Amino acid sequence: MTPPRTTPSRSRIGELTLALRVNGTARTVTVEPRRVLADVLRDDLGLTGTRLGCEHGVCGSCTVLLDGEPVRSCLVLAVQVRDGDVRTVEGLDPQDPLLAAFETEHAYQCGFCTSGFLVLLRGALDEDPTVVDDADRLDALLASNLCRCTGYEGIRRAAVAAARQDAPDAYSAMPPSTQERNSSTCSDDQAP
Amino acid sequence: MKPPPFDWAAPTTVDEATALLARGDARVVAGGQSLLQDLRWRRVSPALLVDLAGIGELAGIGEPAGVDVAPHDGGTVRIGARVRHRDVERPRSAVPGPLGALLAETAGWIAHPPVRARGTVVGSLAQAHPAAEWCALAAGLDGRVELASTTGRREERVADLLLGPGRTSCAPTELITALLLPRLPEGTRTAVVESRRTHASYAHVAVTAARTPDGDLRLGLAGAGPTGRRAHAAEAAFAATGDPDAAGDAAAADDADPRGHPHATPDYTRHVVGVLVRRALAAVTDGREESAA
Repeated sequence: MTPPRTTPSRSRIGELTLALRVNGTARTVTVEPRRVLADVLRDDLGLTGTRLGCEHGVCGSCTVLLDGEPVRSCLVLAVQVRDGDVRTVEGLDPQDPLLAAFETEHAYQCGFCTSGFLVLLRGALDEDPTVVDDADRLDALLASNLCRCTGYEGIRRAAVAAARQDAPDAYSAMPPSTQERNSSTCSDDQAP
Repeated sequence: MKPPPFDWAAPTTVDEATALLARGDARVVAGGQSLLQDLRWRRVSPALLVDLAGIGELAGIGEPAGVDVAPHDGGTVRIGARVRHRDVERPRSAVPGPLGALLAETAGWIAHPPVRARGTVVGSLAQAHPAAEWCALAAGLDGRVELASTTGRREERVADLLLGPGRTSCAPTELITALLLPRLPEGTRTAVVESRRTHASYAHVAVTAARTPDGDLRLGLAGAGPTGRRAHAAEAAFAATGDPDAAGDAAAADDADPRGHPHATPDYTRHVVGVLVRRALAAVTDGREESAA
């Protein structure tokens, strides 16, 4: 279990000031307790890559990584994230194999669900890349998020392709800055 | 919608939490996967949210600390109120033996990984959804919960905690601090069988099953009535006849009390109950019939 987190300070009535890390950077926000993480990321921090779809935890377009795990940011209050580590789609490594795989495998059409799927898959592959080797497990994972356009097969193929590019010696759960320092020089393949 | 306004507190002890709950207009937030939906649909509008995240006593899975806990068949496992669904899934779960296997298999049926990353086992009991897998498992194993308030601590059988759809015997001024489940003897066979329309659906019907080497059978049932419940009639029928069909029929007729859904009439749900009980029994008995008692 994580240790008890620090107590945010209060400024104006009802609002709390809290510290959190977002995409590797320390941030401070002052928010009403009722504000959910998705809205704080989008409206207070300008990170609009995280989408609002159903806003009640069904569609997964709001998926972000919280302390490394995919979560529904529409079902997390910002105040619950004090001292937490959040990664959004904007925080993915530009060389993340998922990005190229989504292009190659036609894993998006309108693109609205894409942020959520990229973050879901990055978190899942970081925890256990073998999830793509079991069709039932991969099915259950992909069913976390709704896609209305693609029929899921491109997303499935992209997940498998990306997992197989996460070679063991390059595989890392480190934050993007460390990956950027350690990654090999990009070839002249098309940029994601 | 966006949640309505509320104040927020993050106590670090159970006593601090219950003092806040004693106000009477507060709700507890642990995982928040059901509460945030209730807030967003404005089904609830508390003045204060009491966040359990800073209370160390509520974390973790282990032996109960209290001396007023009666052991079942070799011990009791205490699941604190902050334990998340994913904490009992493998390979994370530290719960050994057949109980650990049953917990892990049950957890895998709940929602999706991102919801399991936040939601809690005890939260599911407090929410008391009729189709909740944890309610079925906890009732099926005759589990108990610990509750705390400013007037002290008490225990309640899960069967007595769950009063109806979304209703429990936990008062608004009380906090459920833990779920207590009996350790299952080595060699106990366990199974979870569930029917649902899609990966994204709540359970239509779910059955949890544990059968010890001595033949002691515990069946939990979700989606078959106003609350999760132990399938006493099915257990008795199986004990008397050794016939999974008789157990399925008894479950459908006597353990089930379903209401109609848009996609399932009560008769259809009873049919599903019978089928799933038979499948669960097949999984924990290898299809061999026990001799009549």
